[in-house]
Amino acid sequence: MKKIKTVLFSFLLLVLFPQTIFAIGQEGIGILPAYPREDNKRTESIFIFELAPGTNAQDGVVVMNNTNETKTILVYATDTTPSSDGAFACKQFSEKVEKEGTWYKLEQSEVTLEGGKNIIVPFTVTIPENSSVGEHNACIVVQEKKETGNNAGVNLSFRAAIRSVVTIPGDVLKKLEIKDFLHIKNESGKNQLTLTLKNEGNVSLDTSIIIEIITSKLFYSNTSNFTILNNNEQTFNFDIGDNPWGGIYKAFVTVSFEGQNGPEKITKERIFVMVPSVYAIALYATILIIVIATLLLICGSKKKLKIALKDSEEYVVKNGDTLNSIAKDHNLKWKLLAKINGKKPPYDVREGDRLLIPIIKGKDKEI
Amino acid sequence: MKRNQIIVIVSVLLITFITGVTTMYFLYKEKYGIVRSATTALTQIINSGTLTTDIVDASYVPVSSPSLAMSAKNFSFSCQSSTGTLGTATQQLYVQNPDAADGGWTLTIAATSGPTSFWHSNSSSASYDYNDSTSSGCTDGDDTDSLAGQMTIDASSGTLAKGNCASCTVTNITKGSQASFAESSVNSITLLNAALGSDDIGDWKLTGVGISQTIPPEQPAASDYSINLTITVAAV
Repeated sequence: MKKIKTVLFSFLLLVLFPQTIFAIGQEGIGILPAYPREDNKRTESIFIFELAPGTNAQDGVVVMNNTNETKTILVYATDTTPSSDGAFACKQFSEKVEKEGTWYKLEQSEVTLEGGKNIIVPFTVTIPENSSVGEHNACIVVQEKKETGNNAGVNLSFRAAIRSVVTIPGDVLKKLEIKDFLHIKNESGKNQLTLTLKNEGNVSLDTSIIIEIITSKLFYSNTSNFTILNNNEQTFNFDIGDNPWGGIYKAFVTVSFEGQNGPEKITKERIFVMVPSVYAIALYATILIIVIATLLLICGSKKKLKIALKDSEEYVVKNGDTLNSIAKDHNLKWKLLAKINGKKPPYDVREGDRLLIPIIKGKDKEI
Repeated sequence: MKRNQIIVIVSVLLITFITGVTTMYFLYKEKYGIVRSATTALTQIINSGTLTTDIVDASYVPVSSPSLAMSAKNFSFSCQSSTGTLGTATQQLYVQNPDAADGGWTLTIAATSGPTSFWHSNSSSASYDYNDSTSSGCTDGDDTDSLAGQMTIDASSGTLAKGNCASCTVTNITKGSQASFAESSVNSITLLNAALGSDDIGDWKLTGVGISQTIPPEQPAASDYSINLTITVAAV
């Protein structure tokens, strides 16, 4: 009974006292879609519309001031601009909006928010009658309204943006190719594989990219999932690390995506040389020198033998002769004499044995 | 335990619970203007986060008016190059994604005033360009202005590391290639590109991004040449 009471008491404590979980501390100014759809989790991060030409839709953007100070924040829609490597980027506030950015009309262009506050800014997106089938990207951006810095050098400011994509229904074209797959050594000497993918279709494609470098074992492996925007060429750099010993490598890339007629895979391979480190080069050079020297010694020895056998006479061993005494008498080295006559340790010679004695002249006398 | 004692304990706990929930309800409503869950016994408050970028010091405190100095140069009749580093131990380029960009994100840098920007000295009124690709910036040509000069940014030489988060990694985030600004073709340069599979919750710091600027020949001496660049983090 006592146990039951204890359990009941603990249960009551757990149920009745509310628990609070605190979020990650955040700074800066940011935005989020105000009305994400339950059927598409991605709408929690970006705006996604499917609209026919001549139609429009209403939505809203949550502008958040995560700082502790009151801030005046610019909120605006603008065109996308391809960044280097083809990554998604947005035009600056100062630049003229000419393309999809003009489709968006925000109800407020700037808001003043106390620290920790947020506000929803409603907007309407209207699709022009002559818009083409496929995806059209634009940016919704927030940035603090303030005077730019005036220090000597580069003055930095920051902003946050979200992609807004409108898909105009019609014939969808899905076409992706691997344009380049290269090995480079960048400015700081790091080995990288650079992969360039070209989306020639009219919708963006979610890809799964697997890169592997295999030697005798798996040297490098990376799996990543990038979205390649339509009519766009995008380059990705993968740091593959170094092998101080260098070597010849074969890298494979496999890109999987949902193609025109179902799942598709495109592949490419690249053979490349990784240059060894200075220390490895020094070691390799030392080994090479040793090998060459050994070969030269072997060759030299064979040459001596060849010269020795070119011209020779026969000698019959007498009583008391040794290999050393015979060699001395003929002004030769006993080892050469032993080698020519196939004598092995202990290099004994017996009376009556017949030995070949090389006749050495001129420059060959040194052997 | 007597029945009366149990009644007293249960009553006290009930009062505590009702008071707690009511207080949290009003606090939450005041802070966010909305109430997401008001009737559950277990109350969780998860503040919505947003994707942000900033320059922070070693303790992750934002640096006010961040800037970076380029190496000083003497007057020269020849074309020369000045260098700098974006992201240092005390001024780290910092990105926070508190579950606000599940599809990935990009970090890019561009001139605040767009492709028509240039380096300018208030004291001497002299200027030079940041995006003229003619002779790698040594002579004027390619673009619409009459200034020479070109800026190159190399994110690939930088170092990307995870920030405060314990479990996140740098996998699925690639650094941009070395690239030079060129009017009409390269107005924005990629610093980082986070894939769909990158951590949904995480923070990262980027340091050691190399910047070099070609200074045209016979550029007038001045100690206050400056240019404004904007770093954008975008959810894709």
